[in-house]
Amino acid sequence: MPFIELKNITKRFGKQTALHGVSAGVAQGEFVCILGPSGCGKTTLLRILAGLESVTEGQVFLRGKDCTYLPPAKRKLGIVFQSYALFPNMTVRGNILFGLQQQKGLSRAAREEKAAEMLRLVDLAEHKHKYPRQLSGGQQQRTALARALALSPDYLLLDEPLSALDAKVRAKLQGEIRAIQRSLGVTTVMVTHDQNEAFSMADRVFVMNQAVIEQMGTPRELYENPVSPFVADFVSEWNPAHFRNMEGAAL
Amino acid sequence: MKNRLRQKFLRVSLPQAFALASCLAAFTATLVLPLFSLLKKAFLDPAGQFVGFANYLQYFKTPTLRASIGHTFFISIVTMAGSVALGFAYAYALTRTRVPGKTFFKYVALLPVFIPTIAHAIGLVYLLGRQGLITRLGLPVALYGPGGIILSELIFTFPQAFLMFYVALEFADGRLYEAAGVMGVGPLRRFFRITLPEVKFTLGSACFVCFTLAFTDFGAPKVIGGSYNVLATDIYKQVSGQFDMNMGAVVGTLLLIPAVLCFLGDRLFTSKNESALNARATKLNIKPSLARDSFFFLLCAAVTLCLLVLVAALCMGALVKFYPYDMNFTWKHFQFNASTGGIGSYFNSLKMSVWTAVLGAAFVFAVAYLLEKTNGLGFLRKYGRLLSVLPLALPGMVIGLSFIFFFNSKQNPLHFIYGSIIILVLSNILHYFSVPFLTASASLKKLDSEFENAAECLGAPRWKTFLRVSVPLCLPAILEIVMYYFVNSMVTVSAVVFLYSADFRIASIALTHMEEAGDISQAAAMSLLILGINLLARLAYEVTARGLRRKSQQKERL
Ligand SMILES: Nc1ncnc2c1ncn2[C@@H]1O[C@H](COP(=O)(O)OP(=O)(O)OP(=O)(O)O)[C@@H](O)[C@H]1O
Ligand SMILES: [Mg+2]
Repeated sequence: MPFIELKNITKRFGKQTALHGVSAGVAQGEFVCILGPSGCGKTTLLRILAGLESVTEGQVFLRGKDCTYLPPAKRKLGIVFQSYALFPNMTVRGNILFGLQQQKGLSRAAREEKAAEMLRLVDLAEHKHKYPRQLSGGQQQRTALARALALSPDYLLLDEPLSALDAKVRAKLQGEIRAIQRSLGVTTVMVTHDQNEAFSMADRVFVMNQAVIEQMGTPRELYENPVSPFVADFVSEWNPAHFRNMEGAAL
Repeated sequence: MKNRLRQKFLRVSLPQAFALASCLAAFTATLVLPLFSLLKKAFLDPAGQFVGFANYLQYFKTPTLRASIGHTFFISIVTMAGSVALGFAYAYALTRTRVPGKTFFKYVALLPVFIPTIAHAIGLVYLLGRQGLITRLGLPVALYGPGGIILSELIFTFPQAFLMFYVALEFADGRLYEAAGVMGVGPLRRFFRITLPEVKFTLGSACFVCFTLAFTDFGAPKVIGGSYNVLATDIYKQVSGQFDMNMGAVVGTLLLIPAVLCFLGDRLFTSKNESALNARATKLNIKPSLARDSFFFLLCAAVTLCLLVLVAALCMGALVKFYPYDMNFTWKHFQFNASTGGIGSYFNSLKMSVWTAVLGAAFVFAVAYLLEKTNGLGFLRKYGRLLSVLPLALPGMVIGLSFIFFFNSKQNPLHFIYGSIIILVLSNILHYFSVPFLTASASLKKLDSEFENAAECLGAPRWKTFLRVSVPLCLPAILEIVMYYFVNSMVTVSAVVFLYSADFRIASIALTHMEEAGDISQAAAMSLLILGINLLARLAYEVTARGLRRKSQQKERL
């Protein structure tokens, strides 16, 4: 049974259809990238997974239970927004603590301990007293990631987390995110419109086009058996060197 | 069916819906219902019989009353044009040029806000009246009549226009201008293509605010209107002089003309300015330009000179024994006659203003937040937006009058607030609701809408996000709102003139009575006291605001 399962999701904004009959599953611990051109419905799909957007038709299952109408706070999820949405009036530490403070069961010391652990995890311990505006883009990104992971979520959603960064920082963070994800084993769905990023990071890639998922599969499957010219086009631009790197890393 | 509903309301939270609904219900009960009772009154005769349009017919048959409408429109339109142009130019000078002495200019421009309109008029009398300082230099001036009223209304409305534009122009996305500069777009085109669209929304609001203020002000026409009647003085005469409540209600409904215009005009400039500043906006870098800067410097200097001279005239009036015959110094005008209110009225005003400021700011910000940051509830939010901008077009006198009709009725369960400080505070909160609301909305709009989503995913209840994220980030705006409410409550006359009771007199009304009784020097002295406390309040605000700014700058630098 997949950990996250989407059944026939359709989402309309007025007359416009952002998602059309999307069905998909994500296994426990899997890293899935949603790949597609701008405006194809990636963010909408992610927000539906988070419960931030209602569906017009269809159902969302989490751990086999129908959670279509479950509010975000009850889903045990972590999310990193495209704009990061770090609270500007709180330090890095404050941002990470914010979610922890909602957990009634945790003692003060336990919260502090968890925050410190997160800071170490994303390597921001020496920047913990800085405010978001004093951080570089990459540091902001890692803060957002730490904040999302602090509550030990069941699944993690990332909306183009690296799109605002330059190539070098990007490459470094791609590796870091993947490493953190592996070490925690957290089920992750990441949105991107960069095929290299998707193919080098993901266990499986969902290629989206105009409100539907065109193909789902491992990078190798997509590369070897693209089902449509659209997917083939995406794959052809991809540099297989990354592919080998990935497999090497996986071994 | 159940699913259909859940789809629709998945993103609607019950507590938020409840909070919004109760705010709007309170708003409706204290603003909309009173307006209806005013409307009803206009169609009844004094005995309470329905008479259709008879009151209106009678009104339009009386030539002096009829003339007031034309007069009022004339005054308002001229004032609006003048103030908006001047306010924009002045705000532009202070935000987008390199004029020296910006801080000084900014504060002087605010001076008129700190004193009641009657005091502007009294100041003008000292300067341009028959025995005025400037008149005695041999200048032929026609102060009493439309000229004087317009001058006084300009002084009154200019700071409002200036402030609105200042807020709008203060935050500029430097990147837009840099990008335009790189693309070779000239300064004039940049002005029309970037600057003006940025303030389009403000321009519309400023026009309506100035128009309405001038349309409904009663202080200036009362003192220097002479025989030039306007609607606001008519209503005062009908209600306070002749106790003709029905005719008062008729004039009251006529004062609603701007409200109706506003409602129609709303189609033209709906608040769809979603182009909120994004987090990566950079500071605007202004290049020096001698021609531009000297032009704007002269403009600012001329305006400030006029305002300072006006205040100086009030000081002179308050501090000399018997202008213009005995010019020796005295404090005696600060010993107010008990018959016109005495010093007690001043302390009452303080009390009322503090309550208005605290409760008003809390209410405004809560309403703005609920309207800006809740999901769904389309209908409620539309209604809320309409209610929130409604007071912008409601003259204080109409609010005051409708409060009398509504709360003075014995059946009303809130009858007990009639004649107490509560009704004064309530009328002030509603009367001055819109501008703080726009301030709050604008500052909330600038916050990333994902903050709420992020906090929600972290499991924080909405009220916690409100208190820990939105309030701290909007603190400067909230302080500004507190400030605005305090100052306006100190100087307001129009709404409270019908609502104060003999047991609880307030300073701005005392001023009216002093002027009526011919105690002009005491009126000038009272104006100075009001000015003093408002300046003090402003100072306190500035110090706090500066502290906040320094703190957030430290966050940026470090
Ligand atoms: N709240 C909304 N109201 C109306 N239409 C919307 C809304 N959100 C998204 N849409 C529309 O739905 C479609 C899909 O939007 P979505 O944000 O999911 O695209 P995306 O794939 O994330 O694009 P990008 O890569 O540019 O972020 C777009 O055409 C968009 O205009
Ligand atoms: Mg997107």
